[in-house]
Amino acid sequence: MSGHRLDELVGELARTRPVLDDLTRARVAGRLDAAIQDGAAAPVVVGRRRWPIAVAAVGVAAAAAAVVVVGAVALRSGDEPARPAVSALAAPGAEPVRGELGGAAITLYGGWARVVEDRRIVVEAETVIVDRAIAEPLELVVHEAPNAARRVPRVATIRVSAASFAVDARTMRVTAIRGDLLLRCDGDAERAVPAGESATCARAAIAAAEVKVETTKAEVVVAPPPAPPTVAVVPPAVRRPTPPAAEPAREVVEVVPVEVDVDVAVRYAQAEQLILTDPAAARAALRELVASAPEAPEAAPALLDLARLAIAAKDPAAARAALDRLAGHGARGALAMPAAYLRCSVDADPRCLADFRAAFPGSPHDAEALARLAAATAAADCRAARPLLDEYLRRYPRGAGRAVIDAWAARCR
Amino acid sequence: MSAVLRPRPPTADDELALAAAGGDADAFAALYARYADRVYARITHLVGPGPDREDVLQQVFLELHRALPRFRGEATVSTFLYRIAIHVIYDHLRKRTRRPVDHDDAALDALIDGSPTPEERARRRQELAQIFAMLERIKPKKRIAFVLVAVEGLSLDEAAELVGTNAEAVKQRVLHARRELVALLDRAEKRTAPHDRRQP
Repeated sequence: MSGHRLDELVGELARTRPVLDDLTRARVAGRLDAAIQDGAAAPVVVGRRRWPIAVAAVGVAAAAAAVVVVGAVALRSGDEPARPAVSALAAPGAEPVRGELGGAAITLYGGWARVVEDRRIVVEAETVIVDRAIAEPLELVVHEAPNAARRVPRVATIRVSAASFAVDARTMRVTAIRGDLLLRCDGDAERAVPAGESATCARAAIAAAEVKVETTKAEVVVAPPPAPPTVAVVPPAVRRPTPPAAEPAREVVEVVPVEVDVDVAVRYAQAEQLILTDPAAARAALRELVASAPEAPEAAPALLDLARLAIAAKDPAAARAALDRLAGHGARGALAMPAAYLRCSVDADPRCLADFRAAFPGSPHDAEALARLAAATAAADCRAARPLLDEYLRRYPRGAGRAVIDAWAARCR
Repeated sequence: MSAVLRPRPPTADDELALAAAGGDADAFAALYARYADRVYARITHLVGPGPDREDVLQQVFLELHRALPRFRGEATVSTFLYRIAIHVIYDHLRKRTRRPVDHDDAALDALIDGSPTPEERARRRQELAQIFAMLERIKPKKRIAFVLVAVEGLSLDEAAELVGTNAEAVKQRVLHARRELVALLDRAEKRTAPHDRRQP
């Protein structure tokens, strides 16, 4: 009897799908960055936070959870919004809106955003997370989402220069997630906020409900995805920002939301396993993944795997096609170097290897690339090969290609 | 970095691991992006849905960063990472006190998928609280083996590869864990059973 009961309990646990929310993901990433840069000689003490990360996340709000609709914001009743558990960023049914604005990835919970001028974004949300490297200062005009307890929402103009940060608009608390934050709130002097720490814009101005928008350039409006049927109806009390009169010609830019697809991740993991046992099936699975989810982050490593498998199957045309496609993929980032090296295997051109070494000096493939380049050059022209052979012997005296290099060096002496 | 003999065809993850080991921050960030969710899910099953998960997650990837220079490609990157995760989780469980850990309703609710009725949600929440409380009472090695095999469905060999022992040892840990959990359930049921003999 107890054994059967245990099976029921185990089954319940097995059915769970723990989810890593965006804020926790970003916060851990920021702390990792900081720890790695610090040299992190001492391990992080598990169970105690090193830094008081204070962004308390958005409402696990009332049942009237809202998906973002332009101009529509969920209201919560009560004097003070309850601070939810960090693991639950949004109320059930509410989805964050993710988009890309001005080169930065922005995630909004319970709100909307509008870009005004090039580096100035007006945001009305409960929480804003900005990710990606921001080379230039960004100005966020953050409006607290309307709250029944406060007739006049607070507004703060926050100028930030950081790689990744989050703003809790309810408290006007800004947390640096990655990179140091240079923060200047309205009326305050500029201050540095290290990664993992927070600062509050204490003197958030109490502004009138109307949003004054200074537009001198084209105005860009974020268009979030259409609201699903569960979106809360906008109560009459919610005010919408009044567009300025005599607007200049608008350029409406569609924001492409980035969606996380767990299924694609699982399919990629399965395809990876097939690489070990059935390369032909792996190629088919990877091709199908890339065809069905071409913009997914997994598509980039899938294309690299396809190129590699094609080379192994002596199919250079397919390898080139995969690498060409990867070159145009937005998520190729960290795969640019291995993709470039793989292309040299397909093209079999010594100039490719020379270009690769110049583009990625000190890469993990440098020893092998130099050995191949030196050997290929020596086969055609001993005099031209001598500097390369010497370089290999100097840099990689115990390298795997030493025997081959020694043989060419002896022949080319 | 010298060439590495690989007994299996390299994957994109190998490239990322290699680059990350050489100090490429983007490559390490890409590994984090690829695996953080899955590691977090495993941490949750093994440690429970408490706030300490975040620190454990950070520690796992910090250890990964330190260990990457040792990565030789014999195992996949995912296996290499999960082995590190199990090691970090084991250390964490050993250091955590044996007092029952109380998980709040919101944390348990976040694990429940679908749209159950309020009554069903409450029942499932209570069951999750119960299984986590019971797992808290058994020793970490047995707990880890049991969760990997009975909850996550790994084979004995797969679990053995992660915990660093052989399949037979994992099997014994799972069996002992099951026996202890059943005994805990028995005792709990006896405590709540009606006391018929005391009736006049």
